[in-house]
Order: sequence, then structure tokens, then C-alpha cells
Amino acid sequence: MKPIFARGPSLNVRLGLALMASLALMVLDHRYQHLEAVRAGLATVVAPLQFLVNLPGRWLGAASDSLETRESLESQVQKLSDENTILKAQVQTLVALEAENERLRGLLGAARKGGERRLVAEIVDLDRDPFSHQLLISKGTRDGVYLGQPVLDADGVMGQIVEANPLTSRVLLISDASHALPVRAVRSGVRAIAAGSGNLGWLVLEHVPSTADIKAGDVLVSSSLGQRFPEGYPVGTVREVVQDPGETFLKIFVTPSAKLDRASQVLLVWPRFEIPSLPAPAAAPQPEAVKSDTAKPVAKPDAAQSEAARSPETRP
Amino acid sequence: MSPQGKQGGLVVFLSVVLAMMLDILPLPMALEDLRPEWLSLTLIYWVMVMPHRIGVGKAWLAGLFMDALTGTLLGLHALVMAALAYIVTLLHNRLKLFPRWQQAVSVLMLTGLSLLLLLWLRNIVQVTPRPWTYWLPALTSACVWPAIYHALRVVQGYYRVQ
Repeated sequence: MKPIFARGPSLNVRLGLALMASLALMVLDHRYQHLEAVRAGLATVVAPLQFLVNLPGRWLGAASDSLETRESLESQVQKLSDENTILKAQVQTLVALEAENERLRGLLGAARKGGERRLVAEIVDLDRDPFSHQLLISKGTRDGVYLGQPVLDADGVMGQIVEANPLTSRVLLISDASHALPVRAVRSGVRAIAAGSGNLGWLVLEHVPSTADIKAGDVLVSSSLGQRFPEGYPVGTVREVVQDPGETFLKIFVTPSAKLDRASQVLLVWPRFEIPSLPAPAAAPQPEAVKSDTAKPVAKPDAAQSEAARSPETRP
Repeated sequence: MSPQGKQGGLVVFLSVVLAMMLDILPLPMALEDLRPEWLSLTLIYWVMVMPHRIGVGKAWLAGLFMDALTGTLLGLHALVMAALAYIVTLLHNRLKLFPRWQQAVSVLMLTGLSLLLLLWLRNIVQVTPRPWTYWLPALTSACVWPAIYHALRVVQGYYRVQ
């Protein structure tokens, strides 16, 4: 029989080394942000695997596209052109409103809200773990993606970037139990924090006093108070308000607007905030920062904004 | 992989890469819970048949890449895979002599143990309740073990990996 170890340290020593190395890695990765480079390097190495694994699904999708019948394509075109007409009609009123808004802002002497740069990214991979709501998307730091960047879909806010690698990046969805973002009710203007519930189907509004004016059906939009998500994007609709007399706060369940479980493409935005110089985020607890686990995105608003300022504008 | 004239390092490497790909292959929701622990199975096989070549260190490295693939805390899978390789190295003589069904039972224990370790380590960072389906992969891993064993054995014989 061959000796297990011709040379080198014994088995126990090897195990001890491996255990210590991984514990050190975990602590460094969780507590500090020193491992960004290591993680980015590893992620770049494994990125081809992730694309490769998705090829069969893509081929199937392409095959079903090319096999679609003429009627279904025609009806699809019809539907899309109808939708386009309706959207164009709505945009006409928007242009007038925007001009009016601009004029009023000019009168007030308020800063003009700049246009945002946007980029469409494809979802490459979902998280295997049903309890962590993360996506892998096909854009990375090469395209200007940065840590903490907001991610939207056609219907509303989806989440934020928690890991930006050169080729791919990871999105934490707003429904993840470790995510929370500040919102505002459109009807009453009540401010609240929408925390993820760990379930894709709903979010929870935290610490809303029982006297607050919030009803089922209220639309919630992002309030940009955390300086991370741009203002005014729909986050969700209040589904149910439960008032328990024994509790200090209301129990409010919110249905997310974004199609968190169905989207196949996401929209990356480079927001520009109207108040550029707030006190450093380190001073105050960041509501939008991820609460625990994968706790990397300690906001870097300066980097974010200079990034947005540098990159060329591609206005929608 | 090793310097002293050993062959088939590439075969081992490719089988591990394939196992990782199977681990992240998108599956329908219903099958997701049943996904066997491909990487663990592959590592168990290679460590069992040639503990002098594949051991704690290489398993640790494979686990590290698994962490990068799945976006988990760096070092999480690495630790679990290293522990798995350690146990299999200790038991490799017994495991090799076991009849196939008894090996499958050992695989059930080993993958169950690695799932338990993963759960512990994750719960240190953030406690999330898991349904009982969390443990299903251990069972499916044991079920596919005979097939994996034969497939890798054929591959090993064909390329004379030793």
C-alpha cells in the first residue's frame, strides 16, 4: 500500500491549517472589506462556468423563439405596438409636466435633477439557497457597476449590488431578510422602512406607529433618504394593514412592484442625488445598508457619484 | 497536478469542474430541493480511491471556488470540504471494502454531516429557519452514489488515474 503522505505535514496538521485558513477567511470576509480583490479574482475565474451552465437554457429559449408560430408573433407585435402607442401618449403629457416642473424649480432656485445613466443587464444565475435572495447579472465593474448600486426592473425597485466583480455582479433583492430600504407612501407622504421578509411575495414595513396614515392599496415609492436608491421609483403596494391593540407598531405587508421572481432582465441605474453633500454615512446608521450577512456595501457615495459623473450620459 | 510522474490530474480536475457546474445548473423549483451534492460526491470518490493525491488541501481549494460560484461567505464551503476530505482520508480503507449499499449509507452520513456543518456556520452569521427539505440532498446523494461510483471508476480505469 502506498503511504498517504510521502512528504509534508501530517493529516491532522493539514486539517488544522485548512480550518484556520477558512475561519480567517470567513471572519475577514464578514467583518471587514479586505477580501474584495480576492473575491473579484475568484469570481472572474469561475464566471465562464456560470455562463456555460446557462447555455442549454439559452439555446432552448432561442429554439422556442425560432419555432414560434406566425400567429403568436403577430399577436405579440400587435400587443406591443398597442402598448407602445399608449406609452407614447403618456409620455406626451410627461414632457409637458417635466417642462413645467423645470420651470417651477427654476423659480424656486432648486437644483436640477440630472438625467440618470441606465444599462440593461441579463440575469445569469439565481441563488441556489432558497433563503438568500440574490441574483447574478451579466454586467460588472467593467461596465461601471459599483457596490450599492440600485437595480430596477420595468415595474419597480428590485434590489442593490452587493458584490461587483469585473464580469458579473451579485444583486441582493429587496425581499431578502437582510435588506431594507426607506420608502414613502405616495398618498399620505408617510415615511417608513420596507424590510425584506425572506419571502419573494411580500415586504414588511417596520416600526410604523399605529396612528400613521397608511391603508391597503397605498403605493410606496423609494424616498432616496438613504442616498442609495433614486427617488420616486415604485417599491410596492400595501396589501394588508394589521392593527393589534397590544402592539406598539402596525403590521404592514407590502406586495413588491418589481417582478422579483419572474424578471429575466434588470435595469442598472446610476442615480444622481439632489443633495450631494450629506454628512459621511459612517456617522449615522445607514438604513439601506445591508443589515447583516454579506455585509459588504457600506456606502461609498463619493465613489458612486464620481463614477456617475465620469461615465458618459446615455439618457433614456 | 503533482510533480512526481502521476497521471490523470487533468481528469480529476475536469470531473471536479463538472461537479461544480452540476451544482449550479439552473433547475426547476421542484427539483431544486432534490439536487445531490455533486461536489461532495466527487471529492468523496477521489479522496477514497487515492488519498495520497487528493486530500484536505485540494478539497479546501475546490470548496473555495464553490464559495465564489455560489456567492457564500469565502471559506464556508472550503471548511466543509476540507473536513469532509479529512474524514474520508481517515476512513478510506474501510470505505473501499464496503459493499456498494453500505458505501451509500456512509455517503448519506457524510453529506448529512457536511450539510449540518454548513447550517451551523451559516447560522453563526445569520439565523434562518430551514424546512426539512434542507436535508433531502443527503438522501439523493446517497441514491446517486452507486451511479457516480461506477461512472468515475470507468473514467479512472480508462485514463489510468492512480
